[in-house]
Amino acid sequence: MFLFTRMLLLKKQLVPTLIWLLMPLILTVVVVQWGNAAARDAQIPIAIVDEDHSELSRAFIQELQQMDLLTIQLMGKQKALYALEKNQLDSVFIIKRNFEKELRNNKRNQLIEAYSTNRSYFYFAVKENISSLAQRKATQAKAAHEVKNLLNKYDSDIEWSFDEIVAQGQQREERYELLTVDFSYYNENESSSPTEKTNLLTSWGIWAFFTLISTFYLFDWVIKESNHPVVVRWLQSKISYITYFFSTLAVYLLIMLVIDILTYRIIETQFIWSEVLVMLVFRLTCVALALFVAVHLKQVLSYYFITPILALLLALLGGVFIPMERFFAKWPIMSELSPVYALLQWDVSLVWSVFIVLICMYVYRKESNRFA
Amino acid sequence: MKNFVFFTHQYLKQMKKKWWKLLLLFVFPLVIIALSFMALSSIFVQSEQQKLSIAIVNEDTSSESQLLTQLIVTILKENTYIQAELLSMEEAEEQIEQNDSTAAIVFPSHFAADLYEGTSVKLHVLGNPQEKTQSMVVNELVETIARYIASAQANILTVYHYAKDTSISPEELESLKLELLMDFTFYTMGKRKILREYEWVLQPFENPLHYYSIAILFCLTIIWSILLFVFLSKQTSKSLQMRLKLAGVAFWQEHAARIFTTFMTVLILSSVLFAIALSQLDIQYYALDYLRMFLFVSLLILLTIVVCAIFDVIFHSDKVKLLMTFLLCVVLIAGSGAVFPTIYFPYSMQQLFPNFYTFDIWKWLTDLIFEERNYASYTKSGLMLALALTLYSGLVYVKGRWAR
Repeated sequence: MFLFTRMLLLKKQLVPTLIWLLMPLILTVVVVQWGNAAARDAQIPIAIVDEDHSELSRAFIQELQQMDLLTIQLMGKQKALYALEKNQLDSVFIIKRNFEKELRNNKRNQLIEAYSTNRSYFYFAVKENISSLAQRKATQAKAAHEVKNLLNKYDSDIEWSFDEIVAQGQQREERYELLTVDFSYYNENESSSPTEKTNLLTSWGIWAFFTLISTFYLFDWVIKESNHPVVVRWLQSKISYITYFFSTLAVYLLIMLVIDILTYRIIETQFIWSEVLVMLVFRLTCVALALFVAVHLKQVLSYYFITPILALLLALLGGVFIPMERFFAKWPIMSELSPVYALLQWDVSLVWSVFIVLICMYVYRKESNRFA
Repeated sequence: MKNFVFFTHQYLKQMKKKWWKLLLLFVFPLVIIALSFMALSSIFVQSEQQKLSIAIVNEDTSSESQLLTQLIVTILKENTYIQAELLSMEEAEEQIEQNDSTAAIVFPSHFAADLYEGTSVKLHVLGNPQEKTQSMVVNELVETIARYIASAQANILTVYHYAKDTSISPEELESLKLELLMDFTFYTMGKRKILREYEWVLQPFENPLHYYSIAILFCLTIIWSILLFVFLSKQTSKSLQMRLKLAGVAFWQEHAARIFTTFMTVLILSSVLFAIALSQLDIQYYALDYLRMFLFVSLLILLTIVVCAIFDVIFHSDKVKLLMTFLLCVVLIAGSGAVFPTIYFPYSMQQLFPNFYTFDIWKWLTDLIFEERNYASYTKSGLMLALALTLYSGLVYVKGRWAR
């Protein structure tokens, strides 16, 4: 009987409801893909001024141009420094006149001039890259000189060639991975690849944010239907309002759980039960939050207004946009403020589990008094 | 006109009635900004203050490897925020478990011998799962050092290759290996000497506190305009709409009143705050400067509200309308370049930014405030406003026709 009424109500809004249900999944996929693409395309604009115009300096610039993150513009000194002053460039590097000559003579000090400003956010990284590349050249030159010294010392008749030794050093470095580093956490068996976890935006964080919003918006029926003119008829109907209320809730929950499991299958490659459980608890928390807000508001419009703000706040506190680990290290209690944090740690938060139960009881009492 | 005044009055009344909600509305963005700021600063500040303590575990007993580990410890200690000590594996594990160490670097057995031979060697970093971010920092650091040593070693092998062909004695060759490794690694580490660095101070960012307070104020103005405009929306039932129409009230009259109320409220608030902020800077402005800034701030608010109003007319569903408006807020702020310089965005995106009015207004505002420029061009923003207003009135007109 009640299912029938539910269906009648849903029929009219079937498409919007479905869209709102699937929104977190779709938007998560879109945002993560787009975000990754944007992060790949992100660039650091720098200018290189080549004063040397030698073979070595040109090769050096060519190697620099192969670095993904840098967008290199070749220009004159005047123009480059002007652009830097106008904050159109992150930094300017000037290859000094005697670059090749000095390198060949095993001198490396102050071969490159580096200009940055107090707004060059990525200068430290660019500097690191450019100086290590230049240092590689210098080390290769040093090797050539060491060989020369050795050959002189032991009176060898082997022919000495700067370019050949440099080429050999380069080859050795490229061919063999002489020293590599692998990383794992203590007491964790899976050697997780570290780069994966330092992603700026994690899919689950984004998903949590959109799930909060979509859950809030899907539960607007709590307000809408208790404001509807027909509510007076609950007094005469066979099933009580509270039965209706919780049955509807159950139907929504069931659909959401199915969609959650689907989402998990799509986003994660393996299926881990404990993680699914955490996810379901998170969804329950969202529902509890939505109910809590909804039963206190009379106007749908203010509900629509407040809930995205609440979602934003919870997502921020949960560390979706900015990693909060350091922050929570200082104030551990703060980590319990948002259910999102527990989700991202794949952990069940005790505080929020208690909250779910309390809210169920609270809503039950509040709603059962309403039209009885 | 009478209706317009009436509705403006209504909106003012509505605001007065819900004053505490309004207060929340104005405070909420501040809370979000403060929270983000605290979180961000806790990332950057602590990583400089707190010392990273690293355990070095050497499973290779050869004397060369003792020297090598010593070398790495010296390199690590060049960073002032790092504490490194040599421990055994058990001790290191215990330290990590007690959260005393951030990470351990493990040198495998035969480490030095393999490295000299030119066979591939693996260093192992054991991170502390309780301090994931810092463990990553250590990992990055070790990877950098490993790259240096590998680079040095590749060239040493070349030298070695030539040395073998000379009349050098085997003992000398052995000691040469170690000597070269130390020498080259230190040489590589000193790469800072290649650069001669100059750092310039750009005017607007000379004092980050001043710059960021103005930037935050700018963002707040946008956020407040949007929030207040949305906040003032009302749900009018179908029957009431009908009655209003019969009384000769057009849709736009109510809407225009809403725009006007929002505009005036935010304008007064922002102007006061901007005036306070500007008085804190030690620059003397002329009355004309204030007028220019005031004009730009009003343009900013008005444009933002009109764009919101356009959204209000286009989208039918309340939910979609709200979500799109919040999205708009994010886009406007990101495109202005007030928080994060736009030069780092992908090139294709960068070309879009000059089309944003927030970008234009922010550029002029910083010029006026920090560089004391004594002229300003309103053409672009003015044109945008005209465009937005035309679009808006067109939409309202169409909607009015439609409703009939």
